[in-house]
Amino acid sequence: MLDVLALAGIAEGSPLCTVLEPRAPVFELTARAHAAVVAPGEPGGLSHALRAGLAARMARLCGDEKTAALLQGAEPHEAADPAFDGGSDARATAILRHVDLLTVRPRDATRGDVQVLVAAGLDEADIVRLAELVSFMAYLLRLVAGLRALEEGR
Amino acid sequence: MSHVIEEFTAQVPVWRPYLRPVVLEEATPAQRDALKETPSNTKVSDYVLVLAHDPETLSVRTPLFNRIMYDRGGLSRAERELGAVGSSIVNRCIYCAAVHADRYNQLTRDESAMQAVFAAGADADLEPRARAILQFAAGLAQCPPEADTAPLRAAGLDDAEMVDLVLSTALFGWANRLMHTLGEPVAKDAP
Repeated sequence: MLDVLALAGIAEGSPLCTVLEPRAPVFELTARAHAAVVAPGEPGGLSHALRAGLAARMARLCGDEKTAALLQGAEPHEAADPAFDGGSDARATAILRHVDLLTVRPRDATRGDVQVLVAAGLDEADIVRLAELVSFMAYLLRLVAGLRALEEGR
Repeated sequence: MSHVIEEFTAQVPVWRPYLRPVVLEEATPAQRDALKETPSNTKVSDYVLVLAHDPETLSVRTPLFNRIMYDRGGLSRAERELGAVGSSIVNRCIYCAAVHADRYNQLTRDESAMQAVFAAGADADLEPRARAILQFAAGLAQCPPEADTAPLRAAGLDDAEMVDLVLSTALFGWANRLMHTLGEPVAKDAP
């Protein structure tokens, strides 16, 4: 399971650890949500390897190399590199485009962006699975950034 | 076709999905199970039925959401809603902004702060503590996220309160990306 506090650099027994104690269920649920988006029992059209690669890619787009290195695993999927655009694979290209859009400027997303995914062959369930993966990562990266700032600001 | 709302408002719109929601009568056992605990224990909305396409995530997301927004201690309910609004403004999730501005108004019994936020965005001229919270939330919502805790400490927030603000703001980095990218807000009185 993902150890959010370790990722945020909060040492066991540190003063902030004590402050976080009442929120332990939140961190446990966060780790379970991470497992649900990167390694679900029912991955649909998004393999575990692709999901790990996308998670690392999003961390890099947020400037968080430590999280990227942890999440990409031992043999990183090519999607983990934000410079990789899917090449000639139309499905991969559509997925990466959508991940980058929702990570960097979600405010610009429209109905047309969902239609791009449909046109590339993703079904409704895969579109929701992809949205949950990207959206969870947006949460995790902000949670980690905020906790690091709290630890450093003490 | 009812009209799409394009400006921030505290009047909660209707959310119209871009994808077909799961039909309750056709739901799989995993989907039914994930739908048992609904946000704020209200009736099952189209939004939740769209998310039911990924029941594994939904079944964790709902209790996580309720804990971050409603668990006791730490930051006040209203100030968690302010974090949610700050994120929703940056991500331009008009539906989320409306729901959580409305909750903030109900909790504080004051509509002036949200009127200022909808007029001026994250730079709205609020009282100092609310202003520090809103600006922190708007910074954390950016990509890459920005997190300067010094103005929060100066405004009097303690560590536990700041943890809850980070959580509620980060949570809306998640919620905004679902709500704003899987559907659109439309006027309530429309056919």
